[in-house]
Amino acid sequence: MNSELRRGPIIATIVVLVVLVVGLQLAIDPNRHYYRTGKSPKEALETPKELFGGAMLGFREVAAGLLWVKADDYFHSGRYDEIVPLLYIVTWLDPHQLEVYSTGAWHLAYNLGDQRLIPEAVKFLKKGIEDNPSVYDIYFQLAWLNYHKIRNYPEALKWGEIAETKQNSDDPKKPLPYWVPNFVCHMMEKSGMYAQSIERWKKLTAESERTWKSHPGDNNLYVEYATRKHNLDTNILRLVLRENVGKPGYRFERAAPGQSLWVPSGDNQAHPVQTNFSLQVKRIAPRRLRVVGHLEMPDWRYENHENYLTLTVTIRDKGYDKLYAAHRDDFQWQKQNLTLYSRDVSFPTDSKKRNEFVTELDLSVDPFDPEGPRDPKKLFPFKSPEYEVSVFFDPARQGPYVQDGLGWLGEGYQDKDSHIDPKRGIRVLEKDIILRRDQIL
Amino acid sequence: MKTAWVIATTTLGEAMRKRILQVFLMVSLILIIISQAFAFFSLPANTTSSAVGTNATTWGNELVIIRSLAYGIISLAGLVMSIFLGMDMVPTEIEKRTIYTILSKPVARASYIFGKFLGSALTLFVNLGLMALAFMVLVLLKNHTLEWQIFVGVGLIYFQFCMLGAMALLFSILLTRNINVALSFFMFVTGTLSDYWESVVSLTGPGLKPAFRVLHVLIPNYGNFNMHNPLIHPEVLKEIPNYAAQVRNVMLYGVGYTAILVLFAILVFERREV
Repeated sequence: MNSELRRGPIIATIVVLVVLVVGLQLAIDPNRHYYRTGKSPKEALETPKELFGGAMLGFREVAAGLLWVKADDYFHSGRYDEIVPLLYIVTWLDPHQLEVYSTGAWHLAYNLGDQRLIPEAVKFLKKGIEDNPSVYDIYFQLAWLNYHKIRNYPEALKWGEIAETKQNSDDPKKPLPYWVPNFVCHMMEKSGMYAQSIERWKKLTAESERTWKSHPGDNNLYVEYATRKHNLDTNILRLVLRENVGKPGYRFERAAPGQSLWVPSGDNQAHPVQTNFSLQVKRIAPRRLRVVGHLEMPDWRYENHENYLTLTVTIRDKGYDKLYAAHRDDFQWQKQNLTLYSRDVSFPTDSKKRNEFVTELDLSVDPFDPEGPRDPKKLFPFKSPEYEVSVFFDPARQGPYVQDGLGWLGEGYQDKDSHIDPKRGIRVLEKDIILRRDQIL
Repeated sequence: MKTAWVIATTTLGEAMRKRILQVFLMVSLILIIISQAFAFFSLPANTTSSAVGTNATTWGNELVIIRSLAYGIISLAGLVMSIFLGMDMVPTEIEKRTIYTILSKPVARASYIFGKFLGSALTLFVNLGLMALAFMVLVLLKNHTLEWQIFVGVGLIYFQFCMLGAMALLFSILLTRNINVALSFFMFVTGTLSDYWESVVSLTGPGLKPAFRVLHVLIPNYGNFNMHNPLIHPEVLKEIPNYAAQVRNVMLYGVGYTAILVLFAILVFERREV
């Protein structure tokens, strides 16, 4: 027959178990952020309802894959505004898809044709780093973005150096791809640390030579070695060619590539090139500005070889950085209020044309897609009372032959509008013109 | 204990003969096997010039989708099976009056309930184990490596749904089948989304937070078991400190909470007239 149940011990056991379970829950909670989809309910609320249930029932990564297909579809159909929240939903559902961070940031910074989105790309990559801190991939993407799009070389160097310390996402036992340390060397050079860069190339070349010689049949290892050797040799040659740039007792003189452009002047005077930079901005129609300037660089042309200088022209709200900082997390506000457009202008070092550069900033159309559907008035809202048109010249961005004339750190030129970039020690040239809103519209 | 084991093995035999469970098992196995057909939903790998430095291969991405689908299918099957087993065992025996023959023998009610729960847990173990094997074979064929961590992932699902099964068993003594299914499912969704509710509460202001905190530690947190993302991306497992300790804590939590629910079921069943 059934025995009588003793309730007391069972209730006592339940109480003990409840205490144990609560304790375990408190121990589990601090580590749950490694596994859960994310803390923000914003992305959850924005997840399409037809996928939310599936995602919550365990198909998170599949839902992320489907949404990524959707994001791609939005991109190809020009629905750019809808991509940004989708990127966050995808990475909320699956925070370890490295390709989503790299491709998403690429869309934001390059393909969507809105330069105000570049900080969003940086933010997105930083979120990726937070979610995937031990692999090099996203650190490297951030380094690349800083180099190629933002052109903040010290920042690119910083992230590149961090990437170097991380693991290979393919196999933690394998070394990182050879172009990661190569990139760091290039960024050292662009950050004014050319001597360190050459030392680094020497080390890397010796390392790859050893590896290649231990596996002589491996063609990839040879390519790795040959690339580094070429970069080292080129840099040593440049070191020789640029040795006397801007030094007292030397002056610029046109010469064939491979020969020093700075020759003895016969005196002890310094003869930096005086660039006499000038800049004018004219309104030629509503939202259309013509930017004309002179940068009197010496003539580098040799025989039939043209040489080009590159500078960057930017128009943006006066005090853009402060305005952005005040609304850093409010992209809707940024979209409605901030104006930013920047482009590179290249012009030949042709003394007959007095090194004149002319470019037009046409903000009456979408400059990234003139026949596209976007309203230029939304892309460039012009809400501030004043705007700055700036021209920026950086010797580190010029081709190697031009740099042979200007020096690693821009020692070969001077201008009243130039200054030394405090982070890199490179002489850069920058000039701003302030325009009122009514002078543009 | 011996009695409970006899009841458990009998329950296992009965459950395994049930058509509906066989159908669930077959459908789940088929879905796991054909999950590779959905690998085209995998995210693009290194196909654009942007992806500088992204060396992930399409292979790896396909496995992400296969693993995600397989864990999802196993979870879904576990959800349905645990509720079905939990809600049906005791009421069916009462309806068929077979319970009288059992309880008229020297079988304690506690042993009966414990045996029934153990039987359903064994059934779940066999079913999820078979699915885990199919999943493992699929990954082996695709990746040529044995991913032993699949057993960790499926083990987590197993403990999660043992807990749900125990809840369904408790409700089956108190409530009708339909209400039991609805309430078990509701508790499962609530427990799975407890992180999400916490975030929502944090938006409303600090006032509700302490109350929510108490609720959070008391309700069955099925969301604790959702630790599969690092198993789906094995390369990130190393980024997580003390994964094994967390798995251990979560499994202990599952065992502890399940024990509470089974003990409650025993207490309730003791008072119930049959």
